[in-house]
Amino acid sequence: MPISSKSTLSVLWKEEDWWAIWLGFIILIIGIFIFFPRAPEGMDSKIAAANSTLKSESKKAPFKTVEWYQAVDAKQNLKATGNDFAKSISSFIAVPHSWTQNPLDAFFMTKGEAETKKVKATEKYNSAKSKETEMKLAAIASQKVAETAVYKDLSLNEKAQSDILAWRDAHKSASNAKKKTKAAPYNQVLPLIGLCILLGLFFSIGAKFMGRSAGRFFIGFFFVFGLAILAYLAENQVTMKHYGIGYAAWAILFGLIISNTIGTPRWVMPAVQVEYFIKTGLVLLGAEILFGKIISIGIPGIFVAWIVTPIVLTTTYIVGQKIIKIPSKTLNITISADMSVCGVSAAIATAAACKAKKGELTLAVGMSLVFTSIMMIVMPIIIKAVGMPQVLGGAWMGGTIDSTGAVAAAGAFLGDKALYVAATIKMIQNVLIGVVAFVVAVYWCAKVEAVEGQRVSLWEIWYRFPKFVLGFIGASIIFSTIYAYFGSDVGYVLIDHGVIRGLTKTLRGWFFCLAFASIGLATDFRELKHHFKGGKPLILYVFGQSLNLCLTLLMAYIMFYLVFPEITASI
Amino acid sequence: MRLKKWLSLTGCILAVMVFIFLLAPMLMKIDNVKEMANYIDDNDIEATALWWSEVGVVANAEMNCRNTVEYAPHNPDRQSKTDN
Repeated sequence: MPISSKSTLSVLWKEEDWWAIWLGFIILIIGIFIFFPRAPEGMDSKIAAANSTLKSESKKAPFKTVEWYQAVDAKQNLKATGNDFAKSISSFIAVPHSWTQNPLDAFFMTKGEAETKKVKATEKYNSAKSKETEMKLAAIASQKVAETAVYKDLSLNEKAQSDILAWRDAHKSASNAKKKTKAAPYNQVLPLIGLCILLGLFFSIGAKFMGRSAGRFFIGFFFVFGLAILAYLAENQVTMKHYGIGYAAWAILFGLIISNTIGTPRWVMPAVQVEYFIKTGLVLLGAEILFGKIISIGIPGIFVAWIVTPIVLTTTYIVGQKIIKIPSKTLNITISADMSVCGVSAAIATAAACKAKKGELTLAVGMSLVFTSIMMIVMPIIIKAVGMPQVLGGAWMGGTIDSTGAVAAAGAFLGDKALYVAATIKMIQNVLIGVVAFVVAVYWCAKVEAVEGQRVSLWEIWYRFPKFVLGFIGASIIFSTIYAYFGSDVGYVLIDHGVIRGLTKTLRGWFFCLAFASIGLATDFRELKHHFKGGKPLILYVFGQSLNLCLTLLMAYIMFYLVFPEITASI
Repeated sequence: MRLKKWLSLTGCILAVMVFIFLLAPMLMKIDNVKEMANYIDDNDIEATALWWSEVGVVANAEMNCRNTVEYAPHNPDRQSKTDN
């Protein structure tokens, strides 16, 4: 096909990549219109007051005082998701609730059940609250004593610091207990039906313009959405939550079970649109890559996440090609990115950027989920057993465990410091996903897909380039710019706890879940078997993860203990 | 043939249910796994989350780290070394 005919304007409304961008941006714009005008009352003055307290307290004492923490709490409580309108949207797009034995609990809770839960939780909260008050008084008293000595007495300072940390632990327990006192009755069935219809129509518009049958897509969508609900239902079973087995695994598994037993019904196939859902989800994910966030949270973490990750990614890919000889380059890069960056989300972005096969993505995601569950439990045990400091352990886990949820769980297991460092490093690493997707897309267009010896023109690269990546990167640049314009504190309220947590992250989750259900529905077990031949993908994953573990530990030690010890001391 | 397919489906569903309600809870009896589960419950952590924005405690972690960097407590020792 001549290039001129490939580049008509009609691609803007006929190609899936462009539709992913339009649909993604429609949601982002809706999010902006909903949350930006709904800032909490007195936001600016409250932030200014908190920052002024933080400034004066940081100059006053050689440790974080009670007032310092209270000022941080005051900023943390400001959220654009707190108003009634935002809450209504959240409950409309919400996934099924948590349950233990009866799956119906995920969809319904009666007034009586909510009341019983509330009473139980209130009892626990009252006890946690009184403990917190007691600890706070002790912390204030110790701080006063240290203050009387003009903070010159080291032992008094240490006593005050340890009392303040004990109060923070009690404060955290009380806050968690308080959340559980807010149990309210719900009926999730009607909102789920409504959401299914709304999303079905939303995606049907693009399907229609792309020349597919909108009606058939809409009908089939009900089945795929039903499978996505089942996947979320399994994820929210309490024991499954403990193991960190999320919707991605369940959606693929349920899809595979159907397609490989009774077969995916023919009328469902028009809605089995893996790429369409993934690309739209990725455009939304782009808005969650906020460069300003990572710049403001510390240099040591940036070194750990941004130096080790590219080294591990490229080394694993090269070893996969040259030594292990993985037959498929797309499988190789998907596993390498999945293992070195941030698990499932990196696998999705990379697979879409290099146009990997569905089976390859399934394999990469499957391995990531299994290793994540194991590492989430084993790593904190090893760290505790060898007596590794919390900051080092947290940095090690943040840089190596694939998914953020598992990192947070493993970090919390070690303690607050480990949790803070682990979560921060993971967040910094998350940002790399945009760069990786862009570089992989360009590399694939310019090198991998090119005929050997032939020079590929820029125009040809542009033609082959997966355009949704532009939406992904564009969303990141636009939201990072708005975030920088607002500043970190206002950005936290309006973007992080507004557009993202109030709308896009839940919808993005649904889109990925629909994509994974579609992958399962369109995959034959035999396809997967072929990739397992010789156990090469597993060898690649284990090699890459071992390298990742060694380099991350080394870099974390150098950065947190040799280069920036004062940052480590103040965490 | 049709019956065989439906039987396979039923078998798979049963296997999933056995895993969720029998095998997985059995592993929870291991001390370390149980301890981890308790941490997840106590701290209300979304252990299945894939991305930072899906985990509540990550926001707290980020806020804490950012304020620590921006408003680090005054350290007289460090101050004097820098001054020198």
